[in-house]
Amino acid sequence: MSGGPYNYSYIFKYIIIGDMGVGKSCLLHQFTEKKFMADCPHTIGVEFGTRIIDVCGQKIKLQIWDTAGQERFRAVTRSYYRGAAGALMVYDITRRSTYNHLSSWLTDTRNLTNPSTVIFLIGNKCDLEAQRDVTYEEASKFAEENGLMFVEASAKTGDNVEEAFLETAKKIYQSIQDGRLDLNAAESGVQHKPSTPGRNNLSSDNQGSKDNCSC
Amino acid sequence: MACFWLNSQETRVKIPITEEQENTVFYIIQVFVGEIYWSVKHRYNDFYELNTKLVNDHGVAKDILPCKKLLRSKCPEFIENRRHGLEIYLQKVLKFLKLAMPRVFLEFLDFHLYDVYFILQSLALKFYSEADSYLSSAKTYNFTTLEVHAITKCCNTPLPAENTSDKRYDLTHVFDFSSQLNILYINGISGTYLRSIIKPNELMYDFKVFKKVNTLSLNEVCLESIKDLGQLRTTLKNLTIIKSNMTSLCQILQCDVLHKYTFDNAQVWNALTVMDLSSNCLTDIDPTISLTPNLEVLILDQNRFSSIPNLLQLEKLTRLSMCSNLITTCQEIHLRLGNIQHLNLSQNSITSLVGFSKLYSLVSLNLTANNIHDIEEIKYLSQLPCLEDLKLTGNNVSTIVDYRVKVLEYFGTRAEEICLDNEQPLQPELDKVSIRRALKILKEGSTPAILNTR
Repeated sequence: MSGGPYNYSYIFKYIIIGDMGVGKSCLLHQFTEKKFMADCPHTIGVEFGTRIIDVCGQKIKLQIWDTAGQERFRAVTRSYYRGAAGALMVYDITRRSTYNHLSSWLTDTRNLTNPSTVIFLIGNKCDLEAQRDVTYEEASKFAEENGLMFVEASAKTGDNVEEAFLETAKKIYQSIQDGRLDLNAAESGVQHKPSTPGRNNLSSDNQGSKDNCSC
Repeated sequence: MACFWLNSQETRVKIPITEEQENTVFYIIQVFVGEIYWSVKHRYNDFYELNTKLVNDHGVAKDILPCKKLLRSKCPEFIENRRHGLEIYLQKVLKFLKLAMPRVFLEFLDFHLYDVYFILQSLALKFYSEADSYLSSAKTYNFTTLEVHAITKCCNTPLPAENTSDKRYDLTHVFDFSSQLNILYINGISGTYLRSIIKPNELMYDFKVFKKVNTLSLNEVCLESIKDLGQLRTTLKNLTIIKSNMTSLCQILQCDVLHKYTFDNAQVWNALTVMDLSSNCLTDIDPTISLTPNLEVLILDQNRFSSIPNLLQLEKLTRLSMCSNLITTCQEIHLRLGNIQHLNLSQNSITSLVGFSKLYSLVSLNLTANNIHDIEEIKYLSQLPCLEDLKLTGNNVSTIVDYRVKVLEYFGTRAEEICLDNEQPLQPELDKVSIRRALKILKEGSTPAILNTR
C-alpha cells in the first residue's frame, strides 16, 4: 500500500473559476503536467486534474476541478463549488472585462462555498506585459479589500503557477492546524486518505521519507 | 439513462401488478424517471424492513405502511388492497424524501443501477476504498458503457455535487481515479439493461477524463456512440476493438473527420503500436491505415477478409494475425506485407504456399487448419532463411505417412532449426532426414560434394 505516489495523508479539493479564455485549463495543465498547452480547446462543462504536493512535510493530494468559463455552463459548474477547500479565481491581465467580472465570481464563490474556503486571486498571462490592461496595484488592492490571496502568474512560462497552488494548500493546512477547518464537516473539502479513516493526529509521521514524491 | 436530479418532477412510482412465486406474493414496482422506466420486485417483508429504517432514520411517518396481517392471506381481494396500499405508501415516501433520497430508499427502488448520479455514487464508494490498489498495480479497470456514459454526462450536466454529507460518495473519487487510469476496458451491454428500457450501447460517451490512458479496449460496443476518440491520438499505444461490427477502419481512425479518406498530419495516431480488431466485419483495409505509421502488431482475427490486404504502408509491422478469415489464395504476399516476421493465418482455406516464397524475414508461420494437401507445397517455404517456427497441424498434409520427416527434409541442413508444430525435431527424425537426402542425391545421380573432394 505504501507505493510511492499513493502515499499521502490528505485530499484537498480545489476549484478553478473565472471568465472564458483567461487560461484556467492552461494553469491546471501547467501545474499537473508542467507544460504549456498552446491552442487549448474550450472546456465543456468541467475537467479534472490531480497532483500530489508536499506541504510542511505532509503529502497532500490536490483534486482540482477546472470549470468552463462560458456562461452557458454556469449551471453545470455551480454544482462543483460545494465542498471546495480552495478556489482559484482567475482573470486575464490583458483583458479588463475579465477583471471587472471578478466581483460576480466572488459572490458566487462566497455563496456556494463555506467560510473557511481559501480564495486565491490569480492574474494570468503576466508574460504579456506589453498588452497589460489591469495594473498589479489595482488588483492587489481588490484582493486586499476582499481578503483574498493574490499573485500574477503565467501559465505559458510557468511563473508563479506552482506558488499559487502551493500557497493555497499551505493556507488550508494552516486552517486545519489552527482548528478553523473541521475535517469532519461535510463541506470542508478536505479529507484524510481513505485507508486511514478518522486519523486526526496531524503530526503523525508519513511512513518515513523513503518514498519522496517526484514533485 | 435515468437522471433523477434533472427529472425529479417527472419521477413517479407505480405498482401495477403482483406476481406469485413459491407461495410468496411479489409486488412489481415500476419507477419512471422522465422517459426512462424500470421495474423492481419486492415482497411485503422488504417494504416492512425499509419502512422500519425510514421511520427510525429519516422521519417517515409511522403509520403510512399498510399493516402486517397476522393471518397470511392469499385471497385476491386482500392482495389487491395491499398492492394499492403499498403503491400509495411508495408515492408518499417518494414525495417526502425527494430532496434527500437516502441511500436505503434509492437502493430499494434500484436507482443505483439505472441513474447517472447514483451509479456514480456507487462507483465513488468503490474507488474511495479501492482506487489505490487498482492504481498501484496495473492501473486497469473495466467500465461498462453505462458507467462511462454516466461519467461523461456528469461533466456536462448540472448535478448536485454532493447531496450526501458522506464523503465516501463524493463523485470526485470517480474522476480522480479515471484521470489516473492507464489501461481502460469498456464493455458494451447489448439490448436493454436489466429490467429497464435503457439501451447502454446507444448511450454516448467520450474520453475527456481519461487523460492518462495508453491502452484502450472496447468490447461489444456501438461505434456510433463513441465521441472524441480522436483526442487519444497522441497518447494511445494499444487499441483493441472487438465484436463491434466495424466494417471499415475509417470508422475508428477517422472517427472525428467529416471527409473520410482525406488525410492531414493532425490525424496521425503517432503512438499506436498495437491494434487488435478481432471479431468485426472487416473485408478490406482502407487507405486510413496510413494514419497508423508506427504500428508493429496488427490482429485481424475473425473478420471477413478473402485475401491478405496490402500493408506496405506499415513499415514497422512485424506481426500480423488473420486467424479465422476467408482467405483462400495467397499470391506474392511479399508485395503486400514486406518485412513481416510473425504471420498467423490459421483457420483459413489456403491451398497453396507459392506466395510465401519471398517472405524472407519470416520467423514464425502458423498455417494450422487450412487446406494444404500436397507436401510439394512445402518447398516454397524451404528457402526462407529465418523461419524457425512452423505450424501445419489440421491440414491434410499433416496426415500423410512420415509427415514430419518429409516436411523437415525440405529444409535440408536447416532442418534441426525448424520447430514444427510446437516440437523441435528429434534426433531419429533428423537421422531419417539425412538418409532420405542422401538417397535422393544418389537417385539424382549427382555426387555429394564431400565425395567429390576425395
